[in-house]
Amino acid sequence: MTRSGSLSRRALLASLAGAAGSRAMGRTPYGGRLRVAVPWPITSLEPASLSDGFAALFAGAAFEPLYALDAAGNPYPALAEALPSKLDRGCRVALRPGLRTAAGRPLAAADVLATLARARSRGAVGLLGELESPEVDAKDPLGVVFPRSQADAVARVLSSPLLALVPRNFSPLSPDGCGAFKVELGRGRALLTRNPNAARGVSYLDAIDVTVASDLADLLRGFETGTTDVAWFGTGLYRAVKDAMPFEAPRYGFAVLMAGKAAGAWAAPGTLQALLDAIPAGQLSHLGVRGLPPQSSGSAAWGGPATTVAVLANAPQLGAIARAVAATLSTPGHELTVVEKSAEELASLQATRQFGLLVDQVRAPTALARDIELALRTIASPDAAKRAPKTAPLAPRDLGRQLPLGVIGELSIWGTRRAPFVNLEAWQLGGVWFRAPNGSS
Amino acid sequence: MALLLGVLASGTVARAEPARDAGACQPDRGSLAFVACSLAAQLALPATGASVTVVGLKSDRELPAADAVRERVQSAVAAAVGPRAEGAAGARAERSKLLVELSIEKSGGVLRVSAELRRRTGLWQRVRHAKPSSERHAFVEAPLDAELRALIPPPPLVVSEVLKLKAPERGIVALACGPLGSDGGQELALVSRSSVRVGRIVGGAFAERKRVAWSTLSVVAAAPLREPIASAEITPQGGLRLGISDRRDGLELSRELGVVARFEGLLPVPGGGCAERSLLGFSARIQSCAQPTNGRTQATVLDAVAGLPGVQLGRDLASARLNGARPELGLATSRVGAQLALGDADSDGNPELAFSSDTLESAKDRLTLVTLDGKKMVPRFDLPAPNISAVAICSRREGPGMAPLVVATGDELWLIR
Repeated sequence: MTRSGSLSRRALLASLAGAAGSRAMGRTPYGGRLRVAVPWPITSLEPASLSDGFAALFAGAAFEPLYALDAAGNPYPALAEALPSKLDRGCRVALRPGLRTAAGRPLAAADVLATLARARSRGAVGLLGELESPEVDAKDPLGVVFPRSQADAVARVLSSPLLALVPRNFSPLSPDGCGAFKVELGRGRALLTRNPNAARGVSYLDAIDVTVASDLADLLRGFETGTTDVAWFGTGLYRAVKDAMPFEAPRYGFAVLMAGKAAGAWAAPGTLQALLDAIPAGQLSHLGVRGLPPQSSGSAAWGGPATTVAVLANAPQLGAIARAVAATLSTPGHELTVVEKSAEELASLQATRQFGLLVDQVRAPTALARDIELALRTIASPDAAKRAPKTAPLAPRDLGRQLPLGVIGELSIWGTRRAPFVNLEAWQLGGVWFRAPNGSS
Repeated sequence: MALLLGVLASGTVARAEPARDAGACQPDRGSLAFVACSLAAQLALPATGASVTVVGLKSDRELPAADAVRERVQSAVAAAVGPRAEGAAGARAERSKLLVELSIEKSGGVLRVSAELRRRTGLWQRVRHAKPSSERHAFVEAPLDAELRALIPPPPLVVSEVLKLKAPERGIVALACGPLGSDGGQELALVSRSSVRVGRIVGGAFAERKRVAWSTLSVVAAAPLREPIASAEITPQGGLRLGISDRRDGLELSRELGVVARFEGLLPVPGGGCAERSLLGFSARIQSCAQPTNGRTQATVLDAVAGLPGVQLGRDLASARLNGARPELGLATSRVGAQLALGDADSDGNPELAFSSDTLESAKDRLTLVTLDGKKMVPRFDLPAPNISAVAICSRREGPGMAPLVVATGDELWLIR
């Protein structure tokens, strides 16, 4: 050294620590570079998207919502200064002062309004439901007023990762948030580096390199050859890798089958789920799908018109799932043929419903049953999702029996990781750290 | 009868001069000089002065040179309360009529001296076995400085007792121990991510006197750290300086935990000054707390700080080695943990450094105490203590042994004496 001349707060601060908490001794080391291949195309990073697998895995590293949920599911302030305060008619939320995005843009109430407006036109349409559009507090550029809204309901809604705060001129092609990492997107790859303006703590890792896997074997081959640090769905393609540990991260989404206008009467609510529940788990489990029914029941025979099953191109896991589902459900005269589509084509098909069947990914924004139900309802019908019943949430497969959408199974990263990467299981990437081989222990 | 009248006529130090200002006595001129000056000022003796005698010497541990202590104190006080140079020849006779009786007590790291000014007894009073009453009383306390330490050796730096008690909350990230405010004994300041508490250890439990939530002290930092870095210090002036990377402002608090001063973007460093926030820690350049942050990058980043006036150390985030004005210390030890505390635990003038281990496994954590002796680092003791989250060395000794060390481990506080 040289010398020259309230509960909410507690919860916030507890959350800052991530896995490390306020542990002392030696400090959790900074440094390390995680390399991950993903079975999803990398073109953009849209925090409000429900169907982008890359966003489902990495939006949480780059963006933060105004509130977060504690272990009991109660919201606490993250980017907000405090829990919403009640007003005579509505409630008020204030941003923490001094917040900046990774690119250095200051954030204010106008950014909250822009965030909510764009999320309402994307994956958060069901989540925002009948919540009225907020206004900037005339007396405070960091304050937002939600007219005729309950404070606790607003806090719960604003804790969704789909409503992560982004600046007014946000573009998913050059994502900019106040999460632990800043993101640079390249052709088929993404580079996540430490965000110096991270509002809830900078990352321990220096960087995360994300690349696109060309096929499912690639997800294992890279680990075996030492080019990636995570092996999906196994320990290695041909041999076990030294210094590897079993690993399972939380579910990040669901593979779903949707029916369009070309499916005719077979698009009726519950039909697809009945078919999917009849598929033996062994047909899909080798593709990394979890949450399959232990016992299949009913008939897995498609009786609708011969049609196509559209699926996202360059998504090897989803493509393999679509092919397995199509092969299992096809019957003579009722063949199902898989066709790969670009993200734009797929979005267009979904908007017009001009397709037979479609296999897609639906993000699980949180682990809460209500959030998952809203996500599935939003994908099935955005308009209907706005008026989702406020009854006890249903399990995804049970919900599928009420929707023109069937849940195939759960998507998660599981397999093997290199041992030095600690805390990867929680998939809170800002809190992952690298234990150097010669480091203290 | 004439003797009696004479005694009465002389009054009760009626010709005493106005009291000298005790505040004019400077402790930095040496503890004995300070003791003598303070007593003389409080007693406000006449120019004729008084003779001095030591009537008692108590110590919390055996003194190898008790007579020398008596003699040094007696002679220092006698020089201060003796007759002034301009005194007349009769002053010596007058002086002999006044007597200052000193009672000396060595307790912990301080020397306490009380003085009673009495008038010498005359023949008649001696016949009647009358003891003259005290006409004035004075008291002074001074730390054991180098001169006194030559006569009073420091206590051994060994652990004789570890008192473990439940902490008021988990996750204490900084500790300070010392007299908070000007009128009390030592208190503990506990800093967590949510609050600041002060209190004492009473009956094997932490008795909280005051608590304040961080949310009322400072806004959240724009970019906090996942694992907080915090500091706390009770200053020699009795203020509480503290900061934490979770919050924007470093602070100086009063005894009642009111904000006295605010240092935006800065972490108060024990021993004086502040360090500026950097991306992953704090700058190794200590600056004035009144100086605004300049955002200039500093190559060396610290993730822990400790200090005393004149000695400040940090832990280099990159190497986990000590960083400070004495670079040899960084090489004198292997890597240290992120909990550091500096204090003079044995009042010998050389600071002690307490630190946790550079380990990521709580069961392997240990508290180590070393003495920084010139360019050497002298090991004292090493104590297994899992999951240390904060350490402090109390600024005062409270008995014959070393100054207490306080350690926060998990949900416990350990008082090590």
